[in-house]
Amino acid sequence: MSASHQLSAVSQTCATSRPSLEDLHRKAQWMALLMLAVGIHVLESALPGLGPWFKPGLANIVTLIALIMLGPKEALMLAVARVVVGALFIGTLFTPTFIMSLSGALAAALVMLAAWRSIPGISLIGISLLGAVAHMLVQFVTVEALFIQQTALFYLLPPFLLVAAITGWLNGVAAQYITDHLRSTRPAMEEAVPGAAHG
Amino acid sequence: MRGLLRRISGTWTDRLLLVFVLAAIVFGWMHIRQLAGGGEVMVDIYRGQTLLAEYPLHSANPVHFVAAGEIGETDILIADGEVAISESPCTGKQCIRAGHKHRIGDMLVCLPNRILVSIRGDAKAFDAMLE
Repeated sequence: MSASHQLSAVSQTCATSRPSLEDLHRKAQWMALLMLAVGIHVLESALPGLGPWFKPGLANIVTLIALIMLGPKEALMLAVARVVVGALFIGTLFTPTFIMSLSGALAAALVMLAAWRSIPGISLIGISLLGAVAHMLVQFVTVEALFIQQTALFYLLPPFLLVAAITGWLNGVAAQYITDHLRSTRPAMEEAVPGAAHG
Repeated sequence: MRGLLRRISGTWTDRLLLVFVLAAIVFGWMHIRQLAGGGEVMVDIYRGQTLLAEYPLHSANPVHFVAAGEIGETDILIADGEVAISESPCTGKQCIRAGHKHRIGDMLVCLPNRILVSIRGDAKAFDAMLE
């Protein structure tokens, strides 16, 4: 084999094994969104609120943005990674609070992806509303199943769900505003994810 | 102003979903209140699944109960028709900050110590709900 052939074979191998610039760009965007989500997650944990039972769920805005910017798989991974990395920062890894957060975030992400894919005419506001309600419901079920096995715990559920619905709606408004703004400044984003036209 | 209103009002599908979610919450709330109402009001103190003690909420003398939990002792005070957690070994102290509770269905929870204080109405309805 001549030297030029060898060189082209090597360059071909490199071309297939190395990620493309677009791939790297998406990964960098995902990492940036993750850091943003973790920052919000940690900040939220320091907020005085109604306790570990209730948070405004601002980090969910980032999951919604990831859903539109990067796609469903990335959004799901972001939701899980945010809770794990956030727990490392707060120092709650594998504690009941962590398990509550993880189950809630996972449920919210799955419900939001399903809503995004299957409900026609829904915007990020509706998606966020369903995500917030699913988050709260699954948190209660997790606490009841794993930590405090008292059905009476569900007495608390309706007011919490009501607040979750309100904050979910408001978070959806924020996410919609941000993605609209991103779309207007970066028109390429819409082409990257065809499903984004949905929102 | 109109732009803001349009921005926060969502699509028709969103609004329909909101109505559906709110209706489900209100229906669930009414159902739970109905189950919890009536009879003598009692305070149940649990550690996990174990009922440690039960006291009437409106007793003549104040009750001070020390509940041994997962990480230490939680002090519970029942006085003047109200229940509150006065001392807790947890770090967050959310259970203490939750303050005084008096309504049926109200609850004080110390998750780290696995202690739950719940105000309950009619015993039969509560049993029905547990089933």
